[in-house]
Amino acid sequence: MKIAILLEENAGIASRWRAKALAETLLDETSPDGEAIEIAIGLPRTNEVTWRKQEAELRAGNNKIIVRHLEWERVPTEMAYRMFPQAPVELEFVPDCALPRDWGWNFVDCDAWVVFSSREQGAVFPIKPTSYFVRDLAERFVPKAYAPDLHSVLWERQKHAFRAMRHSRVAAVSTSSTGDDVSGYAGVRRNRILEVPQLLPRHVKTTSRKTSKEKHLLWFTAANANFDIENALEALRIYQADGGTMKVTLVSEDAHLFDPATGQTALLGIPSQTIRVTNSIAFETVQFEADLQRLLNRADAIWSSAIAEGENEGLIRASVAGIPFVGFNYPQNRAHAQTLGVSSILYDEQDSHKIADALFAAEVGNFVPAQKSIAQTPSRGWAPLIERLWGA
Amino acid sequence: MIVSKLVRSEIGVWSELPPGSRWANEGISRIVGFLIEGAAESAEFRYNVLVPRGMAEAVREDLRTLQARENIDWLVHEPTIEFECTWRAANAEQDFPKPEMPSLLADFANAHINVDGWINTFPHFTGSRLLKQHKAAMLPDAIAYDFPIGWDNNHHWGPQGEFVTWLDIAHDTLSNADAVIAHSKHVAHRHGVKLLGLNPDQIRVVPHAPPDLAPILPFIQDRTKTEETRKKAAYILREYAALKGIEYLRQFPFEEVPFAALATQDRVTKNVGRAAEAVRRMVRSDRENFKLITTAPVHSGATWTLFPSVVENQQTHRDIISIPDLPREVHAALFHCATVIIHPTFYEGIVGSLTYYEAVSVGTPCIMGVGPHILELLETAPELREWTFDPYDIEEQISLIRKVCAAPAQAWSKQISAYENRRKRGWDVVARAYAQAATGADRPDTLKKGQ
Repeated sequence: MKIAILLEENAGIASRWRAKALAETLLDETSPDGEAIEIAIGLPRTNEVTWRKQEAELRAGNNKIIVRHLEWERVPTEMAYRMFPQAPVELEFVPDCALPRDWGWNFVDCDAWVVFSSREQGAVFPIKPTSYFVRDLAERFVPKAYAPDLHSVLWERQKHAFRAMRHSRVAAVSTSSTGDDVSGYAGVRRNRILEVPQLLPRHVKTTSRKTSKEKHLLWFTAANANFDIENALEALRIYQADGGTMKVTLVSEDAHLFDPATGQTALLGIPSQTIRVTNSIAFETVQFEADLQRLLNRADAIWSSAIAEGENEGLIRASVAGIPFVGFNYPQNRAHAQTLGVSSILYDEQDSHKIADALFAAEVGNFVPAQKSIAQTPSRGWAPLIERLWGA
Repeated sequence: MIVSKLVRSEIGVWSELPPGSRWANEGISRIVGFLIEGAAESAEFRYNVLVPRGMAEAVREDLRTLQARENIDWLVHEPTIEFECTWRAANAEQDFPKPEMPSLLADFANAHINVDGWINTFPHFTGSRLLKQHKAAMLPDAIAYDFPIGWDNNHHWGPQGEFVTWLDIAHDTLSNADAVIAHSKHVAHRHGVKLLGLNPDQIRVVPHAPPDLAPILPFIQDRTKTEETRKKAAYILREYAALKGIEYLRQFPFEEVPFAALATQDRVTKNVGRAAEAVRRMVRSDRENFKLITTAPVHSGATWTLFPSVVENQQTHRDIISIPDLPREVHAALFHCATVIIHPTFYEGIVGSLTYYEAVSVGTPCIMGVGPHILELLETAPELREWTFDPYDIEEQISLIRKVCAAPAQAWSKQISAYENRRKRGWDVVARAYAQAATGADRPDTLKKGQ
């Protein structure tokens, strides 16, 4: 059984390591007829040098994983039905849809698809039995991070994406809260929602390279409203003004947007008094796994300012690195802190004073100890996903 | 044993709504429909609806959907073109106030409609003053005088503004009537006596009989919600979404998702915005998987209501969904499928809330914002107080939603008896009370003669 793992347009480092982890997880399984699983990852095209480096990361340690160039080709849905007349008629009234292109068989040679859900790209045309991997539906909670207003194209595309998702074999989620969102927000029937174990980055070697006694905090963030930038910066300002001493490094795929040296376009509209705190923090842009590993090796704790990231990247990295975590208290963070056994401080309000208090608590190591709960992890792993994709 | 009277009393219904007006599903038109059905049940009266020429067919079309027979339980009249030509010729020299239609209609009524009494459906229908027979006039409410801000000020509150002139017209029309029918004590007192200066003895308080949605959904047994009935209601909602091209709700699993429903127009009194805000907080702040589906339209950009800003500025349109103008079956399905019905309104002119009656009639509990209409309901149903909230208190509203959602069947079981008690007084009784007010049969002297 050959399964395609199709990444979304603009897939970042968080999607890529998940694709690799999922590929390796599925390769450990067998198809219901006892045959081995084969994996083809569709990796969106970028410049060829970068793409090759990303391909190498995905194949590192497991050359059974095949990586193909991917481009999502947008076509009118009626045209897609003319191209693939055998496809199930599920997308009536959806004006256009996305087809995966790989400059070859276009993944039609695969038996099933696992699509990394992205509502921005609309409906994926279901040529093959399709499942969706849904990290979160964060636009339910922070729409501004994805759309400036109701006229944004996102909302049209999202409707079409949800229509496709409702017809899929299964939508895989890692927490029951995200499952609730897939039900109540995306409108997928409960019997099509599958809770799977949280994927974790594999082949990660953490080697402490601490050279001083100074505590080092990595701040995982991104330049959008999901990361509550203004409150986070103001909290840092308060923390430092009140004598906080942890060295803070802002870690992001777009860290340059925060950096005083490059214009700080991510900080438009934030009061200058708050912005001044960026003069006392470091900025690290991470594009590849190696960039991140280097930073994790010297970190004492991770703080993520995300307010609705379903699979909080900072929390997962803290879990793998064996260091504590600071973040906002929302259902998915609570669930993952427990299932992954991460010592944490979860602040209850999006309030700069509360966040500053949490940073002080982190500095003195006042974390809630990890209480890993194996019972909450789905016991059959990802095997049910394969069964759903296989079954009629 | 029901004994039908051989000769029915003829009751006139006076309406000056011009051709092209909306009739079907409008507030007072629905009450006329209920009255006709009530009269059909008792077989004591026949309702004669009089409308301006050009309006009759639209009214007939609506009345033909009732559980009542044309010509036997109801008739619709309009002046003929011949009458109008003759009338205009005869009155060419007369200095009638404009518009002339009410005078024409009244002359037609006096000459050609033989009824025992009239019911005027609105206080601003001035032609009723010219009727020669006994008459009653309805006073639904004078809502603008309780909630004067939020309308078009120049249009409504200028020296000759609509509400300003309404007050004089309503006073004159209602004073001229032999009886005034109010639907609640609070309207009779606050608007009838205190605002309009009517004589309290002139006012008859005739509350509506509570509506019942269950007959619209025949798969519901004993008003009870089951997994199966919710599935069927959800199917109706999905079919409607597909028919209307409401893409987000096409194939939506309504029966698997907890949601509140809120059925109303959006008006300054309706408080839709705070119900929407309650659901917004539940979803965005407390991360609860919940939705609000409302029939209130989103008046984009309007500032007289808080509702559009909650939806548009906060982009909550997937969790706070507006689907206005629902057909009756879809409305009933929405109420059955919902986990809870919210009635956040500050004020209604009736006793209680139609949405409460409709909700529990199909197995769904309702929570109610406290206003004079709810306080009047609580006088006879104090057990419902547990399900009421201060309409300004969003957190209290949220707590009540959560309480209901935790055990909806239990909540409903505590709300149903008040409804069943009120249902003992049906539309046949209400129709009789209207007819008696119209004919004067309920006056003490008449009652004495009849004894």
